[in-house]
Amino acid sequence: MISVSNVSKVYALASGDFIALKETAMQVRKGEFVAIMGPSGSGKSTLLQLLGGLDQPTTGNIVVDGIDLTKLNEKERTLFRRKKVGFVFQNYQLLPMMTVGENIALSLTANNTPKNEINTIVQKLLSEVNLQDKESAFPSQLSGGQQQRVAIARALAMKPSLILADEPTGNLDQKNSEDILKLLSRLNKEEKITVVMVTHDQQAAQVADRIIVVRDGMIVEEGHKGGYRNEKVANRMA
Amino acid sequence: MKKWQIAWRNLMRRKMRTFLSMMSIVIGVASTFGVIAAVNTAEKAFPIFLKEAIAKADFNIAGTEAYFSEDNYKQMSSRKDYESVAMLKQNTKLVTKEKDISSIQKRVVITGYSQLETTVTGFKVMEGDLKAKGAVITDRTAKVWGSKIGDTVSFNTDKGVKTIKITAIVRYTKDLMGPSSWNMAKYHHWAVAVPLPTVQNWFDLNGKIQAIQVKAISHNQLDAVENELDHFVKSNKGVYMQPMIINFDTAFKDLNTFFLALYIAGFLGIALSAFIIFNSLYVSIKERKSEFAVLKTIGYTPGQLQGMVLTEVLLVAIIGTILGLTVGYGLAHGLKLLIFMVYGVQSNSSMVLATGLIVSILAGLLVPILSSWYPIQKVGKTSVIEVLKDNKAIQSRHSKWLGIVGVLFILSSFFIKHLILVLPLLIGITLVFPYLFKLFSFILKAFYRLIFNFSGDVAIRNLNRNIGRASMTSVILSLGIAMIVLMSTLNSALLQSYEKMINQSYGGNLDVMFHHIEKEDLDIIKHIDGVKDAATYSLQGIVWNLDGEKRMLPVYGVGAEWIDRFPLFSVSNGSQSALIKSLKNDEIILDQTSFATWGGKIGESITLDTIHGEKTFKVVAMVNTMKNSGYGAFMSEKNFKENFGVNYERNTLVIKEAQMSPLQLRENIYSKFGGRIEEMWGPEDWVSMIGGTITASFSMVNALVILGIIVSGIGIANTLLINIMERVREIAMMRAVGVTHRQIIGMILLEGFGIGLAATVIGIMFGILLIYLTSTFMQVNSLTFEFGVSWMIIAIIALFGLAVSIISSIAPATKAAKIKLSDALRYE
Repeated sequence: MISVSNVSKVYALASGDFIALKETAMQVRKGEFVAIMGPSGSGKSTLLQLLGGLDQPTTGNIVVDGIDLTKLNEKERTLFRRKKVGFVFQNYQLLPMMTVGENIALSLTANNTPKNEINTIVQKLLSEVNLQDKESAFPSQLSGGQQQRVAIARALAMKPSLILADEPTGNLDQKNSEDILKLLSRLNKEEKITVVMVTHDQQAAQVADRIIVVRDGMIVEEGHKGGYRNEKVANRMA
Repeated sequence: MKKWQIAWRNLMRRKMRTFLSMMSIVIGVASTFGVIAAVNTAEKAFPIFLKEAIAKADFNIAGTEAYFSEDNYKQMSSRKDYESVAMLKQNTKLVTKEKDISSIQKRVVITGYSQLETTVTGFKVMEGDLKAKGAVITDRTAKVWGSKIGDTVSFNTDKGVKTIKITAIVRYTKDLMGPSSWNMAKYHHWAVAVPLPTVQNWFDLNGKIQAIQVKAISHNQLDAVENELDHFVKSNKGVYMQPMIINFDTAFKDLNTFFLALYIAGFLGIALSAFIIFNSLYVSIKERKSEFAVLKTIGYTPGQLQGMVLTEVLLVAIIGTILGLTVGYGLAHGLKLLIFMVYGVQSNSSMVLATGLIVSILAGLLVPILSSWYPIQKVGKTSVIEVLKDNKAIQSRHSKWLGIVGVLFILSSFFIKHLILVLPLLIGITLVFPYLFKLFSFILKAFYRLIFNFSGDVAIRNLNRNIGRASMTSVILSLGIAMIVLMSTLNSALLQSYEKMINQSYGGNLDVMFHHIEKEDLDIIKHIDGVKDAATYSLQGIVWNLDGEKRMLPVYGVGAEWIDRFPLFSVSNGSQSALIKSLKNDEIILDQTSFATWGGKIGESITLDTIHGEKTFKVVAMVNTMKNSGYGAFMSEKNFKENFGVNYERNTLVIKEAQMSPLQLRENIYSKFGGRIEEMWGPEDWVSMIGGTITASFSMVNALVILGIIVSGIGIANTLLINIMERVREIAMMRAVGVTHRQIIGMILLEGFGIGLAATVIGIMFGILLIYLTSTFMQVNSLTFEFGVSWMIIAIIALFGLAVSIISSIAPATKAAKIKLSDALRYE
């Protein structure tokens, strides 16, 4: 599903070049749930953004679903994101002037999907995230957990094969965090959607099949679910 | 020092916005300074110019026949309390090697002066010597002819070709008024001054003159000189005396309205700056709420915070004002040159800068401070708890009272019968605008969704989200559009009304002015090819004693037998001839402008100087005319001659055959009379001359309003940039979920377009209201201009308004599309 080889990312800052990722390599299988952990500034969000085609690596290749992202132009990357990737952000990033239903339909509308089709998809997604009665509500009328569920529904609208979640539980209390993680896990299991999640939260990371630890722009540790290393890694990061 | 440094750093944090705010101050100050300085200079220079150009002399002695004896002058010239100059004018043709020049373009009026170097002539020598007994020409004429001192100039007189050396070139003056090019010579003759004996010899007029101009040595002696001259003319038959009078108001009738329009346009510039500063500061303060809250927690008082923001405002205002004054000086200079050019004034008077400087410096500093008052108040009121809790700001509502006050302002403009009504109307529009904008965006919603799909949908939602800001930006453009709709329509309406009126009261297709008309001339004219009919009339400027002030009133001697065919005025009831026939010996008709100047009622009397002394004439009617720019009185031919003693006529009205072109008609008449003709004017010349003046005047006002519209474009760019900055993450998220570059650009362009469309539609509506309101009182001379809207003008303005809004949106849209997703979506 995802193949990252020799990827480096260097930012040119006023104070000099900053190396966010150093010759990183990793693989993610189709249907896998991977958590990326690491301290602030370690390069985990940069890695996630590169996987989603939000930015281009300075060197190396990233292949997602057989598509080499480094060979795509701006427009092709936009269409790649629209069709293949669902993003979930820490701050939900819902548009305040749109209702829940309209927020979910955002990428469908941008894609000029016919209205009746949009309606069907939105209804299905609302029930999937258990917000059937909130279609006409505005984001400001929802709790944090509900807003994140809307954001997940929005991410699912174009039936992506990959969900990239950047600290999806970072702004939520424990109960809501658990609900969101359960939802992501269910999507991963039932819909076979590959999930890559950046998190600081040890408990959140435990949901993943695999935990990758990034430090100073490099993958330093890796562990699998159930394995000693996975738990150890998660605990160490907590 | 530190305070200013911090302020400067804060401003530099938002370079683009600071730049735009400063630009708006620069343009506002520049337009205020430019307009005030140019108008003040014109107000000072025009009367001086008129005095120098028309009435350097205090009195004029003229003959009841075309010429009178030079002995009269000889008797006078020995006096010590005044200077006098005898004059004799003759028309002739220039001998020139210039190719493709018609005979009309060679017309020259040669004026012989008994003395060329006197205070009465007032020639300002640029080169040569006035005492050298040669020809004197102006620098303008010298330039077109390519002549210099020592060159000769030849004229084709009835006695053959006469040649004279050019001995002096003087600064351009009204006495030697000439065309500025060979092409303009089709419409105006050349003028040359020579010693009096030269003209007398060349034209066989030895011992004859046609006028004596007199100037008192000192102003205190004016009355004594007048008495002397009065005594002199009474003891010498065949001459009469008139004081030289200039009535500034009649010479530049529409000037005050034009200046007022310029002031309003200048005011618009500074008002627009105020809006932009308010808008920019309001948002900037909202944006820095957390910063202020933090400062409060560490002990900053509200006063200190307000002082901090005020320092920033002052810094921008001071820099903007200094730059604005520099730009404004250039603008003032340019405007002054344009105003002088449009009104044909030649003056080297220095600029009058004091008032403009004071007002624009005050405006440049006070307007930003006043417009920042409300946002600065908000700084002091920043609630630490609310801000740090990250509560969403509750959208402030536009007070309904402001809306009601706005409606009252608009209604009040219905009762003001003066162009000043523009001010309350513009204030009213500003206050009710948020409601109108809301209504407009509601209508726009469906349209945007239907046509522009995703981008349109998001754009209209964003506009509604920041409706206060969007409407405030929109109102700026709207005011500019309303003003330009009014000005452009007024321009075209005035032109049409003038044209209609000139054609109705010109008295035919051509007015030929001779030096004097001989008995057989009328018959000769009637037989010229292309002439259908002709009639001669008398015209003389008569001294009018009005409330102790002396004014000059052009009086026409009109024949009842020809006035219906050659209408010099229009009447609402009956015919012109019936009105003239009904006039008794002591009765007179006034045109609407002189009637308004007089302020009396039909049946009352005016006092005019006649050859029999002061005499009252009963005003029996008021008529409309645009003859010679429309100002005068009419009486029967017989009464005219009896009262004013002018026994010769100078003007002939001509009606042409339908197939004859106006230019060909002139050529035919000129080839018959040649140098005897002084001037030929047709209604088309007046239309083009008055039209040129009106259009040029309006163009100046419009240029200032367009400057205002450009400022409002800056406002749109500013608002959109602010919107984008607030929504960086949002836009980045949209890009992340697959919204394309193009869709983002489209979205921002449509936001700008929405602001522009609302401004254009609402601005045009109010512009049309302004046209209607002004049409209820504004008159073109005597003709109230009819309410009408030129859809062509409206369409052009609408396109301009929309173009400004789209162009202003391009930079913000590009900026939005270039948002770096990886940075915008980073949390750490």
